Amino acid sequence: MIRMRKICKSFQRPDGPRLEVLKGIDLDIETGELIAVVGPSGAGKSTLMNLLGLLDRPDAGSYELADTSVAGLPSDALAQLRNRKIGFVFQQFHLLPRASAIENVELPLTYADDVEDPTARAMAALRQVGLEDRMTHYPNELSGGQQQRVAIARALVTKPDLILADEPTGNLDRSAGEGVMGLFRELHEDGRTILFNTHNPELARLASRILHIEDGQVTPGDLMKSEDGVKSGDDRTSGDRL
Amino acid sequence: MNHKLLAKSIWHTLVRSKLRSVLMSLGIVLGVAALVVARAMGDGAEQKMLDSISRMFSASSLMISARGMMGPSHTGPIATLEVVDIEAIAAELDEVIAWDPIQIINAQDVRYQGEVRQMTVYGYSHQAERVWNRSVTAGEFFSENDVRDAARVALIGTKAAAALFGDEDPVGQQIHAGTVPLQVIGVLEPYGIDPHGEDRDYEIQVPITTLMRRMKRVDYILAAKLVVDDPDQTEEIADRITDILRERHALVDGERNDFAVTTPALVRRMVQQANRVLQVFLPAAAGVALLVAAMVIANVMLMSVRQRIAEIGLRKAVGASDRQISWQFIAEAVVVTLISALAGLGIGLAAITVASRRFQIPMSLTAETVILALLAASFVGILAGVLPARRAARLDPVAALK
Repeated sequence: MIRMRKICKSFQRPDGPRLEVLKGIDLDIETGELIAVVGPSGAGKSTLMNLLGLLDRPDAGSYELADTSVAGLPSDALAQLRNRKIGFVFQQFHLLPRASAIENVELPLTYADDVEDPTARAMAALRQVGLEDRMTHYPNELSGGQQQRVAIARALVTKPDLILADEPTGNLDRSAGEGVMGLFRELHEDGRTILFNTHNPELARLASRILHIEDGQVTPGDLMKSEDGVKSGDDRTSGDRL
Repeated sequence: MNHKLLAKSIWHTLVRSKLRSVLMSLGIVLGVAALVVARAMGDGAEQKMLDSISRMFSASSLMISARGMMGPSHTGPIATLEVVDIEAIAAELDEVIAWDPIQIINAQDVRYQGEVRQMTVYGYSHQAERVWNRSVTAGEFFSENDVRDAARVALIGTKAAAALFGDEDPVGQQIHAGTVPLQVIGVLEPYGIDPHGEDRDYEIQVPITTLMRRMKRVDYILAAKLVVDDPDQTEEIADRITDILRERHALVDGERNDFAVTTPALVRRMVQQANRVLQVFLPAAAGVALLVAAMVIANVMLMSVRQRIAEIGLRKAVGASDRQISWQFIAEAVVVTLISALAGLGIGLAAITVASRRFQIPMSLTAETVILALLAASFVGILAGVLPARRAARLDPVAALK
């Protein structure tokens, strides 16, 4: 479903030469995979997420999302693709503080065409994450784990092809983090395609595949099933909160 | 794009950030209220002037007045306009259906028994009742015979009657204007103040022939009022009157008219000129207030864009295009200004009602004013929203979501 070839991305540092973040990433993702992206801080995990999520454009390389080549598409078309094909989950949840749970979940439907009953769709998404009884609660009335579940419902509401989660458990305590991961596993079993960043080896092990990014490249040895265990390189993730 | 959802979200943003919305709206509320009141004052003043003039000077009226040829320094009356001039005009122009000449004596002593009062004496013809649309409430108007014979009769205004007669019935009594004895034959309909500022109830009226031959002893008139059959032709008729009078007065080319012909259109222009300050400058000042309000809104919104960076980034991430973000902010500004404008209209309307009912200030709120206020507010909203909207639309979602 996703095909990336020789993707490069660099940033201009304010004082000095350009910083090469991604140096020729090749990546294929099949429908239904649950992928954990691991790697040291600054390896380019977030940059890869932003490129996969069409929030940023690569300097070079090709990217096909659901058989659409996205290179050179105007920003309006990218926005539309984000709306239809991608659901985002962020470390800081990024819920609108002055909107109720259901209003937050409805938000992506604002930019979608032909949604018959957005409220019903949003309610269904909240039911999927087990928060149907918190519809009218505001984010400050919800726990961290509940807030992240609302955010996941928001990512689900457009029925996207791909869910991208950038450190989804990074701001959660252990049990809440496990709850979110459990939810991802359920969605994975339903056939959803999910890709998440994490520093936590235990969580990464729950994925169907682990993608190890180091120094702007996919480390080949790490393209393996997580059930086989995670390589010793994971002691680099000692900064984790779990 | 689901406009209903966006509208709901905009509404929630405004309702749930009350302080910000109030800050944004204050200037508009006051500016629109000021604009509405200013326009209503201007329109009201003009309407009052036009009403008071139209009582004397309907749309099918023309006035011919004697006018000096020597500029402002010339003080005395011009002695060139005569009743025969008006008769000639009426004979030549079929459109003239009625006419009435005027001559006046200012500050004439009028006496009844022991009482003496100074008042204005107007000389009119028997046509005046119709031409000036003012009749008598007691007794009767003077007749054609009275005018032909220069009869010693008079009509008296209500205030003049009260001053001279007290509670006594003036009709049938004899008064003296100077040395001329006059019999009061009628009491004039109350009129009030005319556009020249004269109290038209403190006067007497006599046949113009009586005034010219027996009192003032002149053979010229001051002015004449004509009524024509078609209000749409007054300008054209005025031109023809000018031609006739110039010929009758033997004026050569280049010589100035010794008379003036006043048409309803000219009167309206003069009224509008007199009201220019109220009509133009006050609303312009209110317009400046609205521009200031626009700047306030733009500032508050720029701050709000800074506060809402994460929201903007998120909206982009879930599929908002730059244009849709831009529209959202412009729509927020326009919704705030339109609601504020409605509140301003309400306050303005209340102020107008109080001013006109309680303090008798003439005011009139026209549909034009309401439309103008709403248009001005929308314009201000768009103007104020553009810059913040552009800034919001240009935000980089990656940076915004950090």
